Amino acid sequence: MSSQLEKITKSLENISIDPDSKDQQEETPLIVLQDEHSPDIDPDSSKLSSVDEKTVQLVQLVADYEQRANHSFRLNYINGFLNLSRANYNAGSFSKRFGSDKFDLRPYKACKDIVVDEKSLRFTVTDRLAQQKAAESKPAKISRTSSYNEKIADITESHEIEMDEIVKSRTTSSKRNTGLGGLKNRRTTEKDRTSEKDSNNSDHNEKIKLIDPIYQFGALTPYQLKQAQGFFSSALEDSVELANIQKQIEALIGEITQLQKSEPKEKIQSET
Amino acid sequence: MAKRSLLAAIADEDSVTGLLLAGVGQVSNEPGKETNFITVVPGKTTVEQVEDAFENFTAERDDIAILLINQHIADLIRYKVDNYTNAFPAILEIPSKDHPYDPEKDSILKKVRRLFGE
Repeated sequence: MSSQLEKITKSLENISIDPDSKDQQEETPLIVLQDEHSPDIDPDSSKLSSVDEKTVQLVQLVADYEQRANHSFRLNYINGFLNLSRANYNAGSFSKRFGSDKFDLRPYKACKDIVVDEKSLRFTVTDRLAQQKAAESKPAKISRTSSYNEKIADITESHEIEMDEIVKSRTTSSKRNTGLGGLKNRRTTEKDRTSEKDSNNSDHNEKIKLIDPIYQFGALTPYQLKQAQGFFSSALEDSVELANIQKQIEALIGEITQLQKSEPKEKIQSET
Repeated sequence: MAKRSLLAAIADEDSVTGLLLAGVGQVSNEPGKETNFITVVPGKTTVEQVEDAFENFTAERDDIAILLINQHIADLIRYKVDNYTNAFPAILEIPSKDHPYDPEKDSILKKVRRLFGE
């Protein structure tokens, strides 16, 4: 045993890595692992077929969809429901304070709209309430920049107008009471009334103000309800984005199935 | 296309409350378009009422762009949801408080799995 071990160790000692050695100057052949059955790679065939290209796009979209659905979409809804439950718990009443019993069923417009792009058919959420608030804040900024003298002039003018109106109202009321100053012109008063009503209605229609939907649950609401509103707004945006990706995935699935149906026919035709 | 600007919701109480807080809700006096949301109460709301609401939002009304429906409510009318092929309104299944998002039940992922032969 010991002699055999000595032989093995001697043979191992003879092996040396010397860059100048003649044995290593000979080029060792590269070991090529090649499957006998695999065909040679043709550089022209590196282009993917149309089905494969679509499949790659589909896989990328599905990855994006899953990433969004499993993270932000799911978490925003969970946090929204959690904060809503906390708000209901803190409200302390037996019936759900922030539930279907408290929905405002008087007519009102939606604060969030969907805008569909005609070319790409993509959905985008537009916040009409935020736009309304931005529009309202602009005139307030302009008025602040007016000078002190202009402000005084405005005040005096408004005061004069008010005084004139008070004088007119007193004279008309005195005429009505005493019967002096001519007959009562009922036609004009009726017209005035109808015209006033029409103007009021048109003003109302033009100025349908959007109201923050949180106010339907009361003026003073717990902060958890405000947090829930924020989470649900984010969840809504995620939902719309998922709807966009779903549309793209469905379109790609349709295209791939059509291509798969047409490709076997082409192969049969080419073989014949 | 320009008419379709609203979101509709067929969901349970908490989901509808959340979506209303987000600003989705609209109420009007116009007949047929009173509200764009339906609250499904388990035990009180029947499957037929859910079907009617689905038909109303998808086929009868022309101002809905996206219909949001809870996943567990969509399971009640799964045959209708799966056979729905119109481009508008788009249908999206959303999670609820008691039924969080389950990718196994997601209809779009089921279609992808079917395509890949799973």
